[in-house]
Amino acid sequence: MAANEIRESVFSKLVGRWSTQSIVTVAIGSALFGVLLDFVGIPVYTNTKLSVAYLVPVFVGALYGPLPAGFIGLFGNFFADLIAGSGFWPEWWIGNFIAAFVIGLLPLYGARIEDGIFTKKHAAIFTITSLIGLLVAFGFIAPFLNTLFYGGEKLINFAQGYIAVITDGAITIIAGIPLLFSLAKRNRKNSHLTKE
Amino acid sequence: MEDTFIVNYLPGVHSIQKLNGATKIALLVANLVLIMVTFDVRILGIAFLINLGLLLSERPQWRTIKAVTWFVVWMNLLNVALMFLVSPNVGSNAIGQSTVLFSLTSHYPVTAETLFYLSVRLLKVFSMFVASLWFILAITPSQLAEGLYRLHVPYKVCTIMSLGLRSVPDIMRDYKTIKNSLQMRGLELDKKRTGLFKRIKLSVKILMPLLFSTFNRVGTIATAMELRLYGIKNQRSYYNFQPATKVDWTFRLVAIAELCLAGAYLYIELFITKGGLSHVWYPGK
Repeated sequence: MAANEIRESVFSKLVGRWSTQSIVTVAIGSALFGVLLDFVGIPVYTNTKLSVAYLVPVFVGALYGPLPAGFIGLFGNFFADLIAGSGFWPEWWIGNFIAAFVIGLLPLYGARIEDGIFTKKHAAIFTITSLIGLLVAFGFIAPFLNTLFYGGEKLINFAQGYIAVITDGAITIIAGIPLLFSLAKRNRKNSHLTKE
Repeated sequence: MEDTFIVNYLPGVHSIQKLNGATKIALLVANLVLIMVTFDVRILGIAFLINLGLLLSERPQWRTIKAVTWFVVWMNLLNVALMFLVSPNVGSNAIGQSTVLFSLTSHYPVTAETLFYLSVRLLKVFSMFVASLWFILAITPSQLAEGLYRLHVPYKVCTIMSLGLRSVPDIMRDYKTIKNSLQMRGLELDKKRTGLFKRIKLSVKILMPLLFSTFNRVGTIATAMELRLYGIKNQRSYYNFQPATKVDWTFRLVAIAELCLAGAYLYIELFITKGGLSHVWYPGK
């Protein structure tokens, strides 16, 4: 019974909260992700930019759970391709889905931003999981699918993927952790509880 | 930003733009699948011509698509050049024979196969680009949502599509406002005057107000939708539903034919010639 409950709660944490509110959040978050990916980037390499878009899944993952964050990666990249018009690249949608999902795993290891709970331990776990997620998504899956779909030189596709891991990882960690701390602090103030 | 913004919010007047949303999506998916599975220049050529025809039939404004076209052309020429630099024998290895035309140095022989392979790759990427572009110019967010719903995608996903694309101009306007106001307070965003790291920090500074102003809107929209009983039933209808016409059915048949071609090609490559997905057809071999 207890084990069943735990499994259920893990499942519900993975799925996140799904209501009209989370649908609107995913929609608007994806639009924001797309706009940031296209316009607020500093070009580094052929198709790779230093983008601050990855703070959106951090934000949404903290408040709504991993699945909404993952969908923001998926639909957000679709929107980015649609706005930019430089072609649809479905393997990067899948890569972004996985990366954003893993980045959004925050509630699973006990970081509850809406209650103001985010400690240094959580920050360390966040760093490690985000890097692993980005590595799996952009270091393996996206370049592998890219080579499968479009051929071309494996080395270049994988180099592009690794650059994406480094740039997105840097932004996620360097800017994401301060964002999470400040969000947690904001919400802690709202609880009206003081320590005596 | 505005000159090159290519998403349409009002339906166009050309025959491709007047198609049913579902037809456009089916046609795009069929084209993308066909382009993705094959490395055969004959099939890619047909796909490229079909997509180019579709794009030209919309009479796109060269002013709006100029920037993105040049971007794609230069990026892919650069990519191909890099491919040649990294492994000059990429084409010969993929095709399995080598005819040296001339040598740049002893390390960089230019083979006919490599040139062929690189041009097929370019054709593939450009077909992909043209296919995406006609679709983007032809569809509106509501049509996208309605079409996906006709193709049995859950309607909550359709809502994400139309609502998200509808809010893109708002977010862009907010971004501009925030950026301008921060610049008025003396933040230097010019590429030449500030270093890379500083610019990253500044873009994060712009992002914070943008995140909050964007997500503040969520509550209002969600409440408005719930007051109109969004999500009460398992299905919904769309204002812009248009029944399929004869033209729609023609294009749907084209899409089905393309999917059949892709399937047949895949079957032949995987089970009969056993060449695999990356097999390259080469004349005379």
